[in-house]
Amino acid sequence: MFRMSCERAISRREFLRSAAGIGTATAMFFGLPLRAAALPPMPKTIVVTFGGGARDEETFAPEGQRYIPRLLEELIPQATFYTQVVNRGILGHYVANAGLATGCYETFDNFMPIAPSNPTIFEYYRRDRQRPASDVWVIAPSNGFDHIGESNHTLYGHGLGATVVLPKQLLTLANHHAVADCDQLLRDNYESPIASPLTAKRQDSLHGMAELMKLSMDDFLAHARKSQSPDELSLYIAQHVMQTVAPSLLWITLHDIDIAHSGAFSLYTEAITRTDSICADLWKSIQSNPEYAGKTNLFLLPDFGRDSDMSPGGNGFQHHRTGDALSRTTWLMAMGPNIRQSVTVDRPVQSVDLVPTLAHLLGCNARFSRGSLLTEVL
Amino acid sequence: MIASPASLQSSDFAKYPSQARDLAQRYLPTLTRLPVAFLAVFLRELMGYDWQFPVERAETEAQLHTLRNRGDLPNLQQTLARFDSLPIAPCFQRTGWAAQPSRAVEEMTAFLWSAGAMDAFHVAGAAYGDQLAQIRVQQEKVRDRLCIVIVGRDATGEQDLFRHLRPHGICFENVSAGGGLKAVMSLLEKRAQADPVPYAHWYVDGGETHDSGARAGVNSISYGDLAPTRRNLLQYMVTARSLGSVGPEELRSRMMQMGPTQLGNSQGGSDEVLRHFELSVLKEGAGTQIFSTTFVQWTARELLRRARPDTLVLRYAPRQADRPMNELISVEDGEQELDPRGSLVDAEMGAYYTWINLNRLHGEENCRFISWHESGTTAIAVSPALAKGTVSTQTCDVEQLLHWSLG
Repeated sequence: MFRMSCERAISRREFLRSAAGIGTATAMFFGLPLRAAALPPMPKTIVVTFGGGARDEETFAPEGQRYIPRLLEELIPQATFYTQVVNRGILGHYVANAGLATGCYETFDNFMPIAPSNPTIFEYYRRDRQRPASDVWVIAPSNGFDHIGESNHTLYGHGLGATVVLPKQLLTLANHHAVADCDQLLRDNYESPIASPLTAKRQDSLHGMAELMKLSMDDFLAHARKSQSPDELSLYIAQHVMQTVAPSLLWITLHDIDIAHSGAFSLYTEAITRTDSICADLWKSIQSNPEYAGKTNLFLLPDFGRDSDMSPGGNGFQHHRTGDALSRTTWLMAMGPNIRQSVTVDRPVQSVDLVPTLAHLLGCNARFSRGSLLTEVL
Repeated sequence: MIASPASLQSSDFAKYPSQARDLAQRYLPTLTRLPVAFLAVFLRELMGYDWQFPVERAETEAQLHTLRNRGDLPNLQQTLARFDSLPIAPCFQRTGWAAQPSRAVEEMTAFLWSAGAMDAFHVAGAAYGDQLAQIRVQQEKVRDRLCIVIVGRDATGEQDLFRHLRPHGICFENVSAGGGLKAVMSLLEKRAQADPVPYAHWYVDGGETHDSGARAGVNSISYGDLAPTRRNLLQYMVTARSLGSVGPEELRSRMMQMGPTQLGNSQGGSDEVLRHFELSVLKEGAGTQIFSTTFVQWTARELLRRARPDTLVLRYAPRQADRPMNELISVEDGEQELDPRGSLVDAEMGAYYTWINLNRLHGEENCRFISWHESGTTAIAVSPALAKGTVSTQTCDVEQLLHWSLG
């Protein structure tokens, strides 16, 4: 089954070489000097999960490139690009994202509000570097991601986690006394159509969070009225947090693409193009913000792919249920001042390799992670 | 204690529909010797025996016959051994799990994912799929299948249409639409009359049924005609959503247990097989309740997988525009904004998936496949009688296209 993913990697690599004139990691190691020479000791890190499962066919494969114009034109030339990132865990969004954050394949029930059992990168960083919660933020659109910021590991957890913002909850709160005209942003995952009411305790906590990030509810609502999707709202929150709090570690989970579960191919590909734009805009925000410009590493990757058109047990792009090679194999793009530009890495890596790599860059020890270092970006 | 297949009893099938119960009880000694992971999946299918299409029923019986003689079939033994080597899910410790095989399969797959054994389960499933293909080859004569997919009602833009299908057939870029629908429907009727096999000729519409007069020998399903059933199902989802206590998997399990009577589905009339099929499309297909394009694509997939028709005509209609989930599943009546352009994109992909599913059937080399943009000028025809990967700019109409495709 991994033969197919290997073939896919080759087609991506060939395109990237022809489009951007780039070489492989091995070739480039001997050529370009690292810009990391001028790097301050502790860079900032932003991770974006490229929303809700995206296949090669609709991203970097030749037939998919029409949907990601800005990744191709603006970001790829500045990035080290891994062509084969394999997720060997459970292909459910919450549990897979938790796995990305812990560097271990988590095995809990995807649909339950459960904290990861292994420590997250947020906890490693905060404990080892003695950082406050305000220095580590997670922005996730879906209510199901409430617990992703902190594990229940006995040696970690206990208030060592990230500050987690769910923009939809903020919007619900902001809308409390306003006209409910932002319904399009409260859309949840097609497969999780359960509405959970905000408890009084959660409302207090949201008020505190809004205060911490100096977020005016009026401004937030005004922006929400102009946004077309939950992920655009997440971008707004991310840009606001960068402006007002400037955390060292920011994790953004995008999710619009998961509209694919409704079976409408046009909505799925529109969401990919929207996500493409969000990622490019975020990179621009990084470059224009003095707290981040020139000292921020950005990692972009889908949590996993979606089923192959040819898997008889699936229904193509609609779901990610078969566990076939294409649903498990995806890509990762990394860029920043200490990361080589215009390089592809063809060796297979795993999605759990992200955490030890981030830990290395952030100067902490991801001791329970099962992944290996992505040495090409260190 | 594991409630192994060996501990299965006749009483485990007491709540199965009558014909399924009789069949399970008749083959009890065979069933007790099967690996539990295989058995759970097999029983889930067997439980629907009373409402299966004729070809499915014949296949279920042929499978049972083959499984009874597994000792003489080393390849089958080897395949079943793959299922035997899977870790056993805790749900099988529950006495009486076989009474609700759907629930057991859901719990088992969740367990296999968490145990990292899902890949092995899929490999075992694919190996059994190969065995099943052999059973089909022995059982079925090669059919002369025809599938026509009409896309793009009210959508005019058509750049690069049918890009996935172009390498497999001739793309006609100058097709006159006049009389096209009539020609397709007339061919459908002719084929149904010439070979009046039950459930062999189908018409699926994403809007209201075209020209609603009944066609002899043709089974028709439409998104529009199923509106009352869809509404009842959505009402159930809205209620579950407002409770906030039923998770998506539990909701799905509950929906799966609902029958036509509970959902007021009388579209299939007295045809129980048809009524159950319609309901299964709405209950099991994600998005079939809210988007007509998904409804058509999923219905086609299920018909090709289950009924394996000789003639299948699909006609896509514009689906409702995207809205927030709570609005999409709301049951209020009213004018809906439509998205013809997005629907054309959906339908184009749906046509490609239908062609893939058609090619999964025995005798695929004789299949004819046509997709036609009814509000444009493009069509694609894939047929053993036609060249592959070519483009024709010759002016033609749909009737000619059908004639050339059928050779």
